[in-house]
Amino acid sequence: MKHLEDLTGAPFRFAARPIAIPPDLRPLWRLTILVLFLQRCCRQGKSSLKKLHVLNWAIRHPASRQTLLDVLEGRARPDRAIVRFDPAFNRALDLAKGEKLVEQVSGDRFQLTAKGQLVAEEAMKDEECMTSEKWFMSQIASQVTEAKINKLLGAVS
Amino acid sequence: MRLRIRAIQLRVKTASILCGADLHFDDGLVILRADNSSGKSTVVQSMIYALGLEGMLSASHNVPLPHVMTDSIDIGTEKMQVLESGVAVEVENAAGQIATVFRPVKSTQNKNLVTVADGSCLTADGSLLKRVDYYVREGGAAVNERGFHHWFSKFLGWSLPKVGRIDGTECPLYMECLFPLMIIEQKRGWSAIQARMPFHYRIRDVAKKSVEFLLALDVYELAMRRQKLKEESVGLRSEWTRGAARIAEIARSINAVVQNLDTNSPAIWSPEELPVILVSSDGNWLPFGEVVRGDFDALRELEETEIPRVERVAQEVEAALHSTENELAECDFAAAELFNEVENERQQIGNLDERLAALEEDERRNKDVMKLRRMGSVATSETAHGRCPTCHQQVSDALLPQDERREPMTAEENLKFIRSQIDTFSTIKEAATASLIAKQRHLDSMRLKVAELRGRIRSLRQTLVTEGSQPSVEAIEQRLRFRDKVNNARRVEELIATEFEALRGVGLRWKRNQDALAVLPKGDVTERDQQKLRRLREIFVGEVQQFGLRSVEPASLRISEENYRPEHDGFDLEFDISASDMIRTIWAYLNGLLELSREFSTNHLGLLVLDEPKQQETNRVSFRELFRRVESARNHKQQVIIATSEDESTLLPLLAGVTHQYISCVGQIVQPLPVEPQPNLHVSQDTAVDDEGDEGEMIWEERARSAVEQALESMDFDAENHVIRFTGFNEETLVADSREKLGRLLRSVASDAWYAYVPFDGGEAVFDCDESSIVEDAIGPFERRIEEFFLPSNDEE
Repeated sequence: MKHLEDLTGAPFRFAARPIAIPPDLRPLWRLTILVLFLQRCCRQGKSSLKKLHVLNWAIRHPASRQTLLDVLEGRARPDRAIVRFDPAFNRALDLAKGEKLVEQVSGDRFQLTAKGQLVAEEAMKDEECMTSEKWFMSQIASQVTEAKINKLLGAVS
Repeated sequence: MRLRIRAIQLRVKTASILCGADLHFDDGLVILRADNSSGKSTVVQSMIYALGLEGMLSASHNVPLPHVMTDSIDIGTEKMQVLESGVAVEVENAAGQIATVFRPVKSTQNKNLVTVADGSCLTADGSLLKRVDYYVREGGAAVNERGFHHWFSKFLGWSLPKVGRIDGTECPLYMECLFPLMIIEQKRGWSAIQARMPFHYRIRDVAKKSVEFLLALDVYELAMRRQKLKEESVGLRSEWTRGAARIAEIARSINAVVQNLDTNSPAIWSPEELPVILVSSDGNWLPFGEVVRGDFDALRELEETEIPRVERVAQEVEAALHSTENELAECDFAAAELFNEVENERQQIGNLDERLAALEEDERRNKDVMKLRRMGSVATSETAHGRCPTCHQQVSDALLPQDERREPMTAEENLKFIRSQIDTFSTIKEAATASLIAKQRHLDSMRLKVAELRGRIRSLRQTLVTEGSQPSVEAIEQRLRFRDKVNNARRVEELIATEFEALRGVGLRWKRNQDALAVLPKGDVTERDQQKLRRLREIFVGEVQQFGLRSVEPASLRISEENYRPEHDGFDLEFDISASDMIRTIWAYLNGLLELSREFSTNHLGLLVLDEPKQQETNRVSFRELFRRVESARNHKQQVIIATSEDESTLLPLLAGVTHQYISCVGQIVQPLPVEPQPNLHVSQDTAVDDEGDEGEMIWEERARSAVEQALESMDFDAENHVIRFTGFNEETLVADSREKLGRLLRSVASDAWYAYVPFDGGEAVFDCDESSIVEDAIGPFERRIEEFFLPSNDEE
């Protein structure tokens, strides 16, 4: 260090640079996706934790999106990717509870609150926001039932 | 540029009487005084309507005139139905040309048809003037030859610029957008400066654009020029891209690559960086021209030597066969290697594509995050501010374990980071793609070479087995091969030369275009524009002082360079001042534009029509100052028409010492007229043309009616033969032997005359002739005599 300061003739220190974060690890992004899931893909804005995890796994990558679509349409490949439970999503759920966007009802079931509904509606209004995610949700909305989710997870585990 | 309203005429026909108003206006200040609801605004609105400008009032296609012109009129205590009505204005332009414009209001004919007489019809007898019909308020009225506003803008000397609309299309800056700066009508015109801009044309920045045009600001001209140059540069760019693509196509056909040619943006090539076509030859990349010349030389050399006999070259041929076979083996091997390389390269580009797709998705999501942060329902949340919603402590902006020590980038930084990665990977991909193409061309040319070598081996072998005295097959084939190759290459060379020449031309034009763009002044407001705006401000400030503006300090007012309207502390005045001061401001601004046109060349028409400018009980002193201020218009051949309902007793003192023309109306402005000019059934053709009573009638209607009337006048009752003879429209003699026949012939006279005068559009008359009613109307006075004449004959039969 002393050498460096001699060389540069000025005080010298190291500072950690901020690190890049994949945008889907941003709390706001994940909170919005969560309320959109509950509003678009779940009956009466209610869902089990399992289903939310599966949706969250699927939406992050084009390949996993395709896998879920295939499974829902009964065309699953035996060597398909495995559903992974993402710890970041649990943090997002905690935040959502804190923000009162969702509330936990009866154990592992979550319910969209009025405030969450508002956020979802506003996100839907902006047509240029989250386009591919919204499109994906519209594709799976009517098919992704709890029963199918259970089957999917059962088949894997 | 100038427009002077010389006179206006209103006509209303009821079943029994003709009503109307005739007003003549001088230069300078004109005061039109009339009591409230006496029809003063009718006059101003009629002026707007006659000039086809009602679009400045609203988008509606209904006639914007009061019921007295459209529905019913009160005469004394009696309410009378309006049967027909129309308006006319006589206008004069800067060159002193006069024209009279007639437009029907309530009429059987199309109210969007305007008749223009080429001279004065209201202040003089214009019965012999040429008349032409034009359309208003319909598609193309501003640009078509037959459109009234096309004629009107020519008459005024305005060349209306094209402006952009909100939907991205273009349209002319319609006159309806300009007149709100010169004609202020009472109902809504006084709420703000440019209160009545016709936004329904969906012209972008219409208020600003209209002031720019009216003041003839350079900014306008500049914007137009810039736009044109930009359009040209887009065209040149695509021309260049197409040319470069053609060259690339040609290069592909000869397994060559193009170097130093930017396919996306035109350029002028410096001598050391001329684009070249490189072909792969024996593992090296050589300029195409060089290869062609090499082949050509080789061919010449070959052709100069004699074709040898087989016996003389047997040994050489054997050696050649051997070496060619070796060469083929090497070539095959190299081609296989190269094939692997190409496949590798392809794989890598595939990986790059995947990576780029993922980055693009990341970029999009990052933007989404930034958008979400701005959403109302999210923006207030704790999370958006990086705080925990439960304990309100600072948390990092990432769904990672919170004990992670490293600070994440903000979404904005992250977006930049992703973009720079996209940039990097795109560049790598571009380079990889270019190298892949080159390798592929190399491979292709190698395969050709393999085929060539195989052919050569075949012919060498054949040479060895032919009789010794025969000429060498190999030597002959070699010549043919070369000749073919050289001819082909020559053709391609020529083709490439023409394409390059064309590109060079595009490059030069591009350079000129870019230079022209570069010298356009950067800022929007030029020195000359600033002078105008500075002077406008001086005039404006002087005026508001004179009119007694109180709400703000006059000297603190500016004219905005953004929208050319007065502003105070950077805000539109409207927010800062009282209602009566608003009125003073509007006076000052509009008259300021008028006064400015005395000193600078502008597109102002030197005309101001103010309907009831004394709004909001602006005090009388101010009103007097307004008169004093606008009085000077007279010295500049400008015209200011002020309509007011102020009592004569208060108004006259205010006008003391002010030169003006005073028109005062007692009672209703639209009054019953003396019977004399009313068109009746016995008028001759001359009086029928007289506009006094017939301003609502179109020329073909007049002609049809008078033709029938003349025919009736010319009737010769031949009792002996029981026929009526009369003269038709074309001077022919017509004979009728019954009432029905007479009616039929008269109807044909009417339609002959009608179709001789009615305008045609695409081979069809614009208005169809209602000959029955014309004949019925005209035949009235003769009816009895005709009936009686034919009656006895019926009895006899």
